[in-house]
Amino acid sequence: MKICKKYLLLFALLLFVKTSVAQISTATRFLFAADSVKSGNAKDILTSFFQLGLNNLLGPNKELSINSSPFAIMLKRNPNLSLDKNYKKYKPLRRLNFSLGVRFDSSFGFNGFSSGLQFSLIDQTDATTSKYIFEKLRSDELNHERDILLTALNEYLINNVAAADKVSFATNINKVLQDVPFNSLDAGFQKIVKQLAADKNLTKIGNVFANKGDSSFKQIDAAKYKALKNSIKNNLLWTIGISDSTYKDKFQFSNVAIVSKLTKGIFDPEPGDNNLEVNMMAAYTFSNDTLRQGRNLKREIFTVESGINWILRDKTTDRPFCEMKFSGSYYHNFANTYINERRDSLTINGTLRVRVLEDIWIPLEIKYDPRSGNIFGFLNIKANFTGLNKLLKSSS
Amino acid sequence: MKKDKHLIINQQAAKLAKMKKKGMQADAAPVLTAKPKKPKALATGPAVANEDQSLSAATQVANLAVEFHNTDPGLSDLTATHNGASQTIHESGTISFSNVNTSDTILISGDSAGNTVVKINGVQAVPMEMNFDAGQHINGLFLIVS
Repeated sequence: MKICKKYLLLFALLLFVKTSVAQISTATRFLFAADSVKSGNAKDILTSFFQLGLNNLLGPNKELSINSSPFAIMLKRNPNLSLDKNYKKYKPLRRLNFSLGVRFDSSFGFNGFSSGLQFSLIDQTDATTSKYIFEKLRSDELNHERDILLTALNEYLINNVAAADKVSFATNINKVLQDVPFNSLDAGFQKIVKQLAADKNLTKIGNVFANKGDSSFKQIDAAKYKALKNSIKNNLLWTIGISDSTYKDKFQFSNVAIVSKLTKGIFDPEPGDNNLEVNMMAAYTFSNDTLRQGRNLKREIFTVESGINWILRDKTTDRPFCEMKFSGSYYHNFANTYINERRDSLTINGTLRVRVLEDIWIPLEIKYDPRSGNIFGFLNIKANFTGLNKLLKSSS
Repeated sequence: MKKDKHLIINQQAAKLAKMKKKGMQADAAPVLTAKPKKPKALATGPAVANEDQSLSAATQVANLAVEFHNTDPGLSDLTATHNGASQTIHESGTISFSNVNTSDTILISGDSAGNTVVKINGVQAVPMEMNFDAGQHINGLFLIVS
């Protein structure tokens, strides 16, 4: 009966995720694409949409959690929220993440709930609100030449095209300037466009027609935009949050932690190149001091961790497929120490994150205490939403 | 003076089968909705005046409804040009041009950090809507067809 309940709970969570996936709007699809080049570590710090986590699978305190953003949920219900005026209005909600989870003990028995809130204080990795990207788009020389070509083609349409042919000529203008490769258009129209580009001395457009005639301007723009997004993915991301867990027999906090995390890329590599990322984390935890009578939050521990995350990216898609993080952490106990417990301790940590599917990560975390010689291991599974969507679709 | 003859049917009063009533209504519809014929212009009337009338009838107001999605206001711009007159917006809104005639064109150009939807209404145009992805240069024209 107990096992049955567990599976029912898991099924209910998966069902919630699946129902949510089915309603992804066009507006959110763009944001998924923008999100896919972020590192797994960055997504653990601040997820854009949904992340299902199975944490510490081999340890005594297992956890099944779901992370999301309130804005992502609202956007799914009301696609109009993606409109620029609403997008700005809901900025605080876009920057907020929440998590809800269920904790299990070593024999998968219920061990309480967990919840948390994270807020991004600085997120310079968001392409949708990047002034840098917008300015780069505005100052693009090829775009200016395309405006000149549009004006020239419009004059040609007005002055030289017979009334009966105006519609097809106008359609061809939009095709060549938008989503149809130059080489795919009819020869007569190609000749006119080439001539006008030459007359107006549009050298960049001339180069595109000569060397990239099988690509549309839309495809060229997409490649440029990808490079621009790549140029900001190493920028600063700094979050602050609060997380808590409850007792299994009573809805009372057994643990509350205030956590701040920061990540920033070190180099500025080309798309597809590997990179290093600096990670810092500071946490102040309040938990139950068992040396005192009754349940309390008197055990106060400060932890700071700093490390480097090595991101290995796929050359063709620019998506990270493996990450290795090396870090050191310092721990200080402000409360009473237990028997054989040190007030301060230092550990060396290593985390290997492997992307098993499009957006499903398996992070394996190893902690080593040089003084005691102890090694601790934590195995997690992080399923970000797009990956989960594909997995569920393929299984159905 | 000769009087016009009219057939008046009080449909409320007439007790007809449903099918018959529908049939009668269908038969009467073309007669009831037909517009009265205009009197023929006098042969001596001014031809120019007639031409002016038809031009003013074709002149319309074209509205471009511009939507920028998944970005903040100010991180987009779109300029629409009609007959040399340009209007620019930096956030979602509507651009209107009056005195728009058949065969006119409205050009659009711009950039956005998000995705853009431009719909034209008030006139019939080719195309009626254009969509641009995030980062795609906004560039195209609407040809007014009626």
